[in-house]
Amino acid sequence: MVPPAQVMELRDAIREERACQICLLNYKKSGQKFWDQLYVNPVHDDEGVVTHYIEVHTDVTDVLAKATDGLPVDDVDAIEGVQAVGMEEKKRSMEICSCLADEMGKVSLSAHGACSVLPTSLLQSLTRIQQSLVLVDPNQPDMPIVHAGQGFLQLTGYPREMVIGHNCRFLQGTDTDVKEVAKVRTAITAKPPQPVTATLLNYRYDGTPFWNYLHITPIRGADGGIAYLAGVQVDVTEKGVEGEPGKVSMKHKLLHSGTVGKVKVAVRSLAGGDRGLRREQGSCELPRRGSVDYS
Amino acid sequence: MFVPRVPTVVSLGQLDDDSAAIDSGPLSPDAPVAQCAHVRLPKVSFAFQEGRHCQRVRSFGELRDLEDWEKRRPDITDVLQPPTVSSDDDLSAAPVDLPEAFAPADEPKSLMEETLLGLWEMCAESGLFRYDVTACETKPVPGLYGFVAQLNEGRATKKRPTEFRVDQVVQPFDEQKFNFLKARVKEVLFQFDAEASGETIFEEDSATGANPGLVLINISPIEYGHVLLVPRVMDRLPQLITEDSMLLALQFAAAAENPYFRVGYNSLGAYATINHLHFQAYFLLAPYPVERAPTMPLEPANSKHPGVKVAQLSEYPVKGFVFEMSSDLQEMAGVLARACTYMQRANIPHNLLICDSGARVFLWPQCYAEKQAKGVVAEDILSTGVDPAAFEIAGHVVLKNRDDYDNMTEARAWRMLSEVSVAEERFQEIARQCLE
Repeated sequence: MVPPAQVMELRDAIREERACQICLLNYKKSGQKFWDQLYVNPVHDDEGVVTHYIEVHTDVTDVLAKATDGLPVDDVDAIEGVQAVGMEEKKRSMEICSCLADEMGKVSLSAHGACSVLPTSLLQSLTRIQQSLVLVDPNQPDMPIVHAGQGFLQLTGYPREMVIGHNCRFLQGTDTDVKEVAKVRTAITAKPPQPVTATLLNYRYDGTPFWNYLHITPIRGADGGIAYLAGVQVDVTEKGVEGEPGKVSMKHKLLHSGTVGKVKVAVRSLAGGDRGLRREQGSCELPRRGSVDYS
Repeated sequence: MFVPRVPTVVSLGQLDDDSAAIDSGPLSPDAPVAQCAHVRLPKVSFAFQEGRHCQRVRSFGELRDLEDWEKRRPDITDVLQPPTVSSDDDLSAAPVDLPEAFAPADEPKSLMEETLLGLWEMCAESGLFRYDVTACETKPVPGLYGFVAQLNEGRATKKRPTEFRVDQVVQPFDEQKFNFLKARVKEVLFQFDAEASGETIFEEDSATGANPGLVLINISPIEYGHVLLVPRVMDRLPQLITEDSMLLALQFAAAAENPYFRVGYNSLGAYATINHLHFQAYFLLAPYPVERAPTMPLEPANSKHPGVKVAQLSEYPVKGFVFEMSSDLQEMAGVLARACTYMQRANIPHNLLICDSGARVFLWPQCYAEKQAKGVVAEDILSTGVDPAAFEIAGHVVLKNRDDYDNMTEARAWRMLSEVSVAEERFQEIARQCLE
């Protein structure tokens, strides 16, 4: 059982991409209840994408009992009043996480900052979008792609390293309609960039063509300026019909705008300086009884 | 008792002075919502979520994925099957099912969330909103609670203040005043009603019947995705909570399957300006300060409704109730409706916020409007122009000018919100009555 406040703490930590420590009531193989101190640490690959969470569990029933004069084992409410306990256990958990992360050849966030062009908290929201999506930096020369979702890589067959840092035009080929391309270019190079929808014949890594129902729209950053262009690709190739794209439906349009909406919600959480809507380092824990006094 | 207020413009219908021409042709986007009976509109039919055993593992991820721990765990006095464990250790290998956190690659797909965001974005592209909310500066206020401040100069209008009656929570529906029948069809995102099949579906084009429940955009959004939920629009219901409407609001929160999508309600006298039953909702990808606040169990004991646990906020500037569901939304709706009905009868202005996809609901009685009318609120608080409705009380403070935004601190927000709260004795008295 996890008290709601601890779930909030865990969710916060995931969102803020930091380690956290919570206490929950758990069961041993024998069926015996115990207090489980759970230490969670995210680890990233070198793109800054969270790939794993390491959990370390420690039985702190005795430690807690000492701290609270015999806390009844199933008093889940009482745990909220208990100050942070088990500092030794926590240190040990952190060391375990660090070793494990090294073994996995990954980066533990508490040890290093993740290196990536995009803020890692944005990346975390974006990697959960299944629809094919790219983010482009319109402020850099030739508008390179700064993020390509797994959906995009699967759709186009391109490996990530051939996509990041490049302009999207690598998808165009011999039969791509230059007028449609020009329409897109005009919109995205306007000051400010304008939303645009187009249907383009694009080519996968293996050379096979597909019809890309494409929507590109500017995304504002924390300071209100245009930070990215979001491009959403929907494959509208009709099986057996190569010369023409399939009919575009409301479902496709909703894929475009729904994906853009999710990106905008994610980017809004970045608003407010370097850390976005996350609290400062010194304030990363839950308020407890008596922790603030504004009287 | 009256206070002057410039009401926020939430609908295009409040901007036009002329009524749209009535025609018998296909429903025009500029036609009023009053013509929405027996026509065709997009529709999200939600899978009616009845009961789930939350057992205090709150909706971290999808509500329906939460384990029923009461069934899974062995009874401490019996010897039952232990949970699945690794063979080496004494420790359990699979403590808590937290799908969302631990599977970043798997997006919990919510058809309602996608549809809402997609249609909202289309409205944004069509220029229906009075300003681009993504251009509004937003920041966390330093401190443990994480108040969120926003500088939103566009929300305010240059209209003259109107007098709002703040000493009557129950007022009859007035056809002459603005109500959602006067909103425009183009502001409607979709109908929202229960679906028998057990699966949420979206239809681009569906018959509305005589009395649809509607989700509309708020043209002065606080955040991205800000919408209004209006149950049974043709019934011309005044702004009063009933069990049915409460259940619909809980289902709405649950259908988004996103704990960052909260649904709020303001009674008359607690800063609702439209006396036509509606809830408000939007996405904020951060916990509200109130969601972080500790709670204390509330006496009297909650044995009358075992499926809902009631606690009281502690260490929070506005005293309030915290309802936590542990069995089903219907029971939750009943308990909440009874509490609100008491406050309505006792003429106590109140605000409500549904969090955690419907599993956790905050309810605050308030007295700020009364204080404002009596002239006892400090001038510097009044001058921020902040009307403390549900989202403000929860900790999302929208400021109208640069100075207030730059100078916002946790202490100031706390002080501002403290004025909203009823005193402890009064709160306990209300608790005794409304939890009966």
